Amino acid sequence: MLSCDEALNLLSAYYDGELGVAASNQVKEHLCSCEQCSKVLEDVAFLSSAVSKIDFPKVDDAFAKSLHEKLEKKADRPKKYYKIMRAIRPYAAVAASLAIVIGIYAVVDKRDIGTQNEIPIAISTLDIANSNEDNVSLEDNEDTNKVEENIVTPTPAKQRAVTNNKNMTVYDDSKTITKAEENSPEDIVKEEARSVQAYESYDEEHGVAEASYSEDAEKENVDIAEKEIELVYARFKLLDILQKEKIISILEMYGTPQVSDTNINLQILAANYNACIEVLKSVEGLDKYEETPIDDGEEYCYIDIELQ
Amino acid sequence: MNESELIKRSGEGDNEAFERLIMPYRQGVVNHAYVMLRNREDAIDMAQEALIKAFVSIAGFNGQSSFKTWLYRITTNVCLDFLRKKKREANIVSLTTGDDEQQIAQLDVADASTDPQRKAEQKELREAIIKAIGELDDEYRAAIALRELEGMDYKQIATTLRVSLGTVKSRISRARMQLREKLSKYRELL
Repeated sequence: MLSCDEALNLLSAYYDGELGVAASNQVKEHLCSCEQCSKVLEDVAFLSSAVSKIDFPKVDDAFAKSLHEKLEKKADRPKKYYKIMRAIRPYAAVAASLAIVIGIYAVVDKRDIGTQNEIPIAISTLDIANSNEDNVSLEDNEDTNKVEENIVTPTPAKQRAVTNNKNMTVYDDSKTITKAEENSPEDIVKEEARSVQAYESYDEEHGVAEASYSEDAEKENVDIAEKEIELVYARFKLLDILQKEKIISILEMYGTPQVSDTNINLQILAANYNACIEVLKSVEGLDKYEETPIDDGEEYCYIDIELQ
Repeated sequence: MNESELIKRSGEGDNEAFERLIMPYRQGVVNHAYVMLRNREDAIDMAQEALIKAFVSIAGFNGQSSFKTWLYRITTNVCLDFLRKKKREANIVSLTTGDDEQQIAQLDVADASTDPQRKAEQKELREAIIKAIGELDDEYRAAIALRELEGMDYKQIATTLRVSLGTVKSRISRARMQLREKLSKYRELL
């Protein structure tokens, strides 16, 4: 028979009907003979009932109207985005090929990726390579080899200077941890909490994003290219499960991947995204099948790898 | 038009399709935001923020989880981000002081009593409950809100919060035990 501590640990799941038959029967048996735990169950039931009866703010006409107006403003964005993408795609192919070669090199010698010397080349080149996705101008791309930064790592200061593809970005560190921190046992709990936010962490930066929707089409395109195009959600399918560990080790260089039985996910600083994607593309058995623009602020991109 | 068609149209920038799509979920999103934020205005603002983010991101929704789960994930994250920023600004407003006093949720605890003392006790209890919920860790509050308000099972909550099933069990259990502990002095009223 269960002890009180054991029963209390299971009580909440028991109340919610989330225990298996055997465990559920054990809790039931304990409750029959333990008035104290039965009282706890009653309290849980009452609290559950009370929480569900809060007087919530109502969705009224004003809410619907306000939401409608905001959504209408956003409604045009995808069309504009894809229009820009189509316009610059022809220039991207050559640069993309070059980037893949560098990416393969980086994977072959993993240690080099973390060094001070290789990544700047990868990033700068890959900025060019992804110009079809980033909608950057050719003039900007010509300067990208001057970039002298490594993989962008968060800094303690709250600094947000959005890259214009010539300068790397410095970001707020509130949403990511450094690799050194990952090994800290205390961070395991924090990591769990952080995982709630790890994939779709949204900033309240829409004021900035919306500012780019000007009436002037050319200016608008430039604004989008500079402020939004970097943010994407990329999806891959991993056909060769043997590559899983390799992929995890690659992703760990850019952030803290979340690994489940079915997926590997990574929230990645936008400035590192292109480099990471190109490295991933060089992994055999990993197919990129979708890349979707997102509008979640100005810091992070997301990579989702389905394990087949 | 079914949900998947509405999702597809929404992904193409059709805001009216999106508004139809979210119609069944709007109140739930507001409720969830309210439990997370404990402030009516913030809840309305962040619910709208979450819905707008869902709209601009829906092209990336791949159907691996249900739309509802996806939407609540966004809502949860919007609220957590909001709370984090608020904390960062060291500007957290106490649930029980100042203007928020008037905004405290009124819990209907099935008290049909007309006895003034009984009513006063129940009011005190309601305030204690909402205060206790407000004192939970954000992650615990998110889990308990999805369970109690949306009636999600643990698997759905795990998918929504992108945590393991064990983590969900643990968070909900701890949240409940913490609530019970915080409200221990009101036990006779429970």
